[in-house]
Amino acid sequence: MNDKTNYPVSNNRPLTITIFLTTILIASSLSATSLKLKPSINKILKKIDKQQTIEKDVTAKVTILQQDIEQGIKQMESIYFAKGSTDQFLIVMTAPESEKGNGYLKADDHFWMYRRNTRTFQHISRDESIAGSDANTSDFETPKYELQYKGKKDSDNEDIIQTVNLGKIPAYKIDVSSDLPNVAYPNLTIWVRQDNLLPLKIQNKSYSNSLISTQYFLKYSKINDKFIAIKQMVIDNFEKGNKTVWEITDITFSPIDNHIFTKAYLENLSN
Amino acid sequence: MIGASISFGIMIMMLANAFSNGISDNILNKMVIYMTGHVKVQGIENGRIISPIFRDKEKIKSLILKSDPNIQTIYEDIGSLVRVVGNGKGDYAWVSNTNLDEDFKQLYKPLEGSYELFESIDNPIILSEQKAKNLNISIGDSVNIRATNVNGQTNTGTFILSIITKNKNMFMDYAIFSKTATLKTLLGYKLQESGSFKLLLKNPKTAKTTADSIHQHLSPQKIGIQAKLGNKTIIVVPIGTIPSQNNISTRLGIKLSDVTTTKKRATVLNVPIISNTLDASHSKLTFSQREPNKYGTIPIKDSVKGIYSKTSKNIIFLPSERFFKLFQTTYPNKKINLQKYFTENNFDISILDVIDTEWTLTKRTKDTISFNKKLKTLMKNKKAQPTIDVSSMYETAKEVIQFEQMFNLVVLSVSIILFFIIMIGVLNSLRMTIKERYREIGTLRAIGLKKSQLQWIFLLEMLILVSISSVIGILISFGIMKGISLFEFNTDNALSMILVDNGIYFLPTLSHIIKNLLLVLGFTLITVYFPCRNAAKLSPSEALRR
Amino acid sequence: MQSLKKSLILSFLITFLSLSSVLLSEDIISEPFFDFKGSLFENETIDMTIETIQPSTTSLIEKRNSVNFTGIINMYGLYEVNRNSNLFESTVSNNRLQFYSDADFFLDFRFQKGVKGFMDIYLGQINDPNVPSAQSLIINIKEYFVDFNLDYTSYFRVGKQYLKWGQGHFWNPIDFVNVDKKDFLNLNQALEGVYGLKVHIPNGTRSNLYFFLNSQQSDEPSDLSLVSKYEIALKNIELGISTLIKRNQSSRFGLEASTYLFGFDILSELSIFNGKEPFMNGSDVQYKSESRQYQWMGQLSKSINWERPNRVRVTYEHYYQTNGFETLNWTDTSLIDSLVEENIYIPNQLSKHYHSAFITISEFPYHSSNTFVNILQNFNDGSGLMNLGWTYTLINELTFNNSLIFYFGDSNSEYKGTGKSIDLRSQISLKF
Repeated sequence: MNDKTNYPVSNNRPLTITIFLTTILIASSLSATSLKLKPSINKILKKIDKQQTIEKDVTAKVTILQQDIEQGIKQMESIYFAKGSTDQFLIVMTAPESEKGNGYLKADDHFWMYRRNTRTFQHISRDESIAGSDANTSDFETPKYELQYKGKKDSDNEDIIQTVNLGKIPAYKIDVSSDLPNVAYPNLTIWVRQDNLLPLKIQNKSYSNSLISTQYFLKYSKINDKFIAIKQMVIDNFEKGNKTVWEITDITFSPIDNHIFTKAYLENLSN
Repeated sequence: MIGASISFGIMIMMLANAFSNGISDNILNKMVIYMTGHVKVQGIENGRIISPIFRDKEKIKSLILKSDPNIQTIYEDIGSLVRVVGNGKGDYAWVSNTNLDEDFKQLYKPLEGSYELFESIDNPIILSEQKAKNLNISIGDSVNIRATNVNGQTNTGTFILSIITKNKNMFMDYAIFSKTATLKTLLGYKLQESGSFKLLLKNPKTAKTTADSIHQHLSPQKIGIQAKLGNKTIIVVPIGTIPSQNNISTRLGIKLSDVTTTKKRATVLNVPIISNTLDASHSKLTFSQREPNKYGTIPIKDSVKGIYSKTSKNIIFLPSERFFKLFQTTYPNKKINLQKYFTENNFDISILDVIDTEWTLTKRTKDTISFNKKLKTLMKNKKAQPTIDVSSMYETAKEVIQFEQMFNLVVLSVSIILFFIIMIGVLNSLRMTIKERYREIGTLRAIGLKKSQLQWIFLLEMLILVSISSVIGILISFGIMKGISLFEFNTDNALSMILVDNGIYFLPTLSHIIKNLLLVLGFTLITVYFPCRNAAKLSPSEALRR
Repeated sequence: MQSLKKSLILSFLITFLSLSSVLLSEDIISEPFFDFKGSLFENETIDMTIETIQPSTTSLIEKRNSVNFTGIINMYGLYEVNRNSNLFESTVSNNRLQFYSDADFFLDFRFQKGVKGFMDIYLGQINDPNVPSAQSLIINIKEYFVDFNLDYTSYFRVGKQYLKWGQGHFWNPIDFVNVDKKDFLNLNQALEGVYGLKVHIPNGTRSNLYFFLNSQQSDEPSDLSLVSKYEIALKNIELGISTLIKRNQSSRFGLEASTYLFGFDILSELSIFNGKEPFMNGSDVQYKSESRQYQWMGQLSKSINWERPNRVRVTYEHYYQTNGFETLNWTDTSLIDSLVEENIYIPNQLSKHYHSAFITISEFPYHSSNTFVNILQNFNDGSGLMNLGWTYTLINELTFNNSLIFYFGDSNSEYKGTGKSIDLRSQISLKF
């Protein structure tokens, strides 16, 4: 999923959108009692899937700090509204200065790009492509770890789950693999917290089992009894030096009013 | 003054045309051939147009070779867009396979390293001088490559730089090469599988005709595989969509009440099998795989959806999706020509209608636009049954041709706009000239020239002027082209892509010269006609008075 | 990324990018503040504690009042190579070197519930010994307005504002509102607004209704004019219908449509109105019809745009007006004066036919720079100008813009009548 940032994206706009749409991770509520027994690998994967499901309505502020060996450092900041049920979204950039106030509005097949300095809405009705790029809606589908991956089993057909400490945090470490087509990383190593199974670190590995990238879940918060990974980082292990940090703040799940998804509102937000 | 403007105008048009034509020639005839071949045949499964694959490459290859004597060479094309990382630096590249044939050696001249080194190691790589510089590596250094394989999985591999080439232009720098077998491993192809086939033709101009002929020869046949149920030999055939399943149930006389098996598993797998040969003692069908002594199985016991009463006892109907997934993962060995099998065994031929073919064949497309549309449909069609597409370079090299068109469009729009500006200027000065010559018109009218004669005199004069200045313009443009071609540009920047052997390459053609001449003449005629007519209409006295 | 086609065009883009990055690679300075090295990720930094936080109750943007101060400062250097036809005998070189600068300062006040205020203060300074210093400074408030809305169902903007009314690239026939027109040589410039009240009523995402009550130069209610527009996005076309209503003046109607066909963005604007067609009698403006007789006239612009994102963009636009002039002697200053007096004078919009082309090649010849050619021509007198330029972005906030402007045509034509021949123009813009 986060591999996207490492790909050549010919256009900055879809890159931004892609990142936003795949970045909000929400954990469902869990009972506070800690788990005494080792969970099954399947349960861990299920938990991660559940956590990656986007809620119906999300409003949040997303900050992305990106370091690319070649392109240097970029910081982007935006406000993001998404209505899961209708596939509508509105994104307003708040940083950097050159992008500030620019926005994107999507409803049905229509997509508008708002440029603050000219106050124009450019209407784009090209089917399935966003801003003429290769990005399309299928890119935003969340992975289903539970269906895609299988855990390693020992000779007794028991799941191999290591109990380790990730730093000071007691964690379970599991190795999973997939032989299904279209699963980008056929091998993963996952660390989850022992107490609530929230993922802490995921290593994405290639078919030949070499490390491609590592995803760190740096900070979780609990909002409305839901766990949210409010800070994440992805390190590119294949091409060392590329790093991306996401931070989500000001998150709400309250239903978003339809008036948000209008040109008028975007213009009002922007300038 | 007018003449000079026209000369200048046509000169610009000529230069622009020859320049863009030179680039087209450079791109089309020199690059495209090596990148995509004159004709390309590719097989697509599950809508993955980025990773074409033929599971049975020999079969397709022989069908292609039979189809047209115009085919000179057939290459197995393994390639992908990859990320290459050298010493602390990364770059994108298009990795391709090479057998180091003469065509290749002609195009990619080695600068450092050797063919021997390439042959002697398992994972060699050939890069251009520019790429090696970008990646900060030299001969013997290793690079890591990250690719997405045919199954959509990320894979990585380490390669050793064995040859650095000096390329003629920037397009070529983008391609990197390794051995076919090594790339097959990296990109997830088995030995009997191939990427697309790239054909070079004896006569490239008839690429479309050859593609049509190959298309005809690749028309698909109904397919079945031979398997064993216990000791019994069974034919397994694919049946397609739900409507055809309903169709087949009436045709075969299936009673749904005959479905006696545990439905649960059937629904979970969603793999109904329709058969009249259900034998409870055998829960699995066994079939031989292509790899010797390997056998695949199809579990049937739990997934029978219906039992039919008519026709042969020896046929098992498997849903298309499941059937073709078997091909993709287990490679059944014994394929049956069903047409023949049915006739030989006196089966009801009409059943063949509901059986799927070994592959489907896309329609041939005329141009890039329809080819793109086709690709889009293919991408959306996530069927396991393979689709084969035959296209000529006029469609496949669409990106390159598009790039070329884009370039031409820019060059042409700039030159046309310039040309129009000049012509509009010419038109205005022309009007002025005619106005200035009213006195002359008056005199000519006074000595008895008819309106039409007068009009002709003016038009003729203009035509002669335009023709002479056009010819001068063309001559000057040839001089300039010659002059510019003499310069050598030693540049590494984006401009170098338009260079051939470090020089700007012009390719003027007779048709362009004629087109330009006609354009200028037509334009002048249209613009001059009205002022001339108006001038000619004047009465002698009126003209003299002005 | 699964849909990322095995596309060569992409590969070419990448080649350009990578090449250009090679050209510039020495300039990239690694920034230490983002360096996660050493033990930072040896597991210690993952925050173990999970704090419970409250979801933000109010909407993100409306959380608190804020004042935002931004702006853009432009420095211009202009060298004009003139060959003024009226002063042809003069042996003195008429070339001129000029430096000037201007700035737009934007003040943005935000309050709760979408209430906000905005101000664009323009400062200009001419550095010319011929201009007395008292006059060399120009201060102008280009815009100041207040925004509010009624429960997000209708949005109001009152004050001096520049309205984007129509999507045309250079000409906007349906723009019945603005007085300030786009500058061909500085297309991104902030423009001056007009006084009035704008109402925007969105109806879902796909359709919008706009009204603008124009109070520019109104002494009494009858001077007010009302412009309205209804806009709807259909299957693959967005349509807009607009009208201008003003007392004692005939109405204007406008139609705009934008769509995407055969790889091109196509948009067109048409306006029709009832009026008197002006013509020139010497230096005087006269009208073809009698004072009370009107005739239908129209303006039409068509624009076609072709784009490869981040590579190249070509826009061609044609403008036609039925009531345009076919011939004008542009060196006659009294003529221009009387046109201004009659309220007819609009630069680049006086003759019948114009066309323009805008070609931008991005990241050419290398990364962070664009090359562009913009051409504007008056069809009727053949004159025009060509702006050939190059933009370099050093950092996001700082851009350099260098261009050569060629003027061509007869000495009494629209673009050559000023005596201009070639301008060399440099602009440094700093955004903050």
